[in-house]
Amino acid sequence: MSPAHVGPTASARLLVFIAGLLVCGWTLHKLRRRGLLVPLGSLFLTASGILICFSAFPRVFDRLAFALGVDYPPVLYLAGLAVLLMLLTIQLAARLSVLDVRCRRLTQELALRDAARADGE
Amino acid sequence: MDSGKRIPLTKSFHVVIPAYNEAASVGRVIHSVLDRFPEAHIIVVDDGSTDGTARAAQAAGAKVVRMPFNSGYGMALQTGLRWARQHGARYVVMLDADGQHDPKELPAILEPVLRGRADVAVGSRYLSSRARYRIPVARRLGSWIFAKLLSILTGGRITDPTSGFQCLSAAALEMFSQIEDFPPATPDADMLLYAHLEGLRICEVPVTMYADEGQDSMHSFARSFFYAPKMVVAMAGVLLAWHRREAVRS
Repeated sequence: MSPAHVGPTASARLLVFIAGLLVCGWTLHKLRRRGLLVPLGSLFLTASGILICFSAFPRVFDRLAFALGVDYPPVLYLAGLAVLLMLLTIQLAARLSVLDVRCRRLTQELALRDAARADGE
Repeated sequence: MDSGKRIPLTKSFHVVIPAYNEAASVGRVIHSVLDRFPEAHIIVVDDGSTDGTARAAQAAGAKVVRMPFNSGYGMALQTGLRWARQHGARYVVMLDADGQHDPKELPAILEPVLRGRADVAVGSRYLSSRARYRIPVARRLGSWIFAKLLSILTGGRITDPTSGFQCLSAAALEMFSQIEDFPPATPDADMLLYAHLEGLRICEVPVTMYADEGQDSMHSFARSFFYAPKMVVAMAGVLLAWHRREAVRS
């Protein structure tokens, strides 16, 4: 049996479990204080759920990797994480761009109104 | 050339000057315009300066519009254009506050727009080699490449797409002041392409340009490094957005 088929060690599983719990706890804390948008909160809760499931049932994920034709399961996890991070970055960049345009527009409005008020209009 | 008396300038002649930390030069630029064209409305958009630019501009006789914080040259410029449009401007000249553009050239740049021959008149330092300073090779090369690209895309002759010395007609003013995603930093070749796609007529006028006297040129080395790829993406974005709009229209 290759090392890939042994699966993660108990300490690795514990580490992933704690990471999942921390992400879940942080997300719930932020949602409670209205400090995180609901769509992003849902995404992080899903990610933390996947981490917790992975720590509890690592074999299921290994089997999924083999079923997808990946001989070494960690490659699938890393690739999955990379894709997830890229999607998240793209989504945040798109949102930032929209907000940036709106913020600049607002800045212009503010400047124009201040100038008009100074003129007594 | 000083043909200011020959051109029928009206009250609707506005000069928009975006300025960021240009207290040392903005007053001189304003005086220089007002000496020749006392009827001109001068709008200085203070882009969050910390050196008393707004005070200097006001003291020199300009209307000052203050951005709440530094928002970029493009944003300041569009704010000035919007102010001019709201106040009935029919012709607008855009000038830099650092003394790079010579107000003596105002009649030359106004003429094609006043005569109805163009909607956007661009002052070119490369026509007749009238740059009064040594233009860095990288800048000259970048400008040449974008000039060629823009000339191909517009089917006209553009030699100085990075020139901020421009005159706009009412139609161009209307269009520029309404663009939702106006480039916040450097509206150059992309906006000329936008104007062409929207059916505005662009022409170039030979003008004299001087080295800027400000502390930080808009096209400093670090910015120049990122300028070319950014402008390529900006031009591609303008083309894509225009095609999408046309598809929606049709």
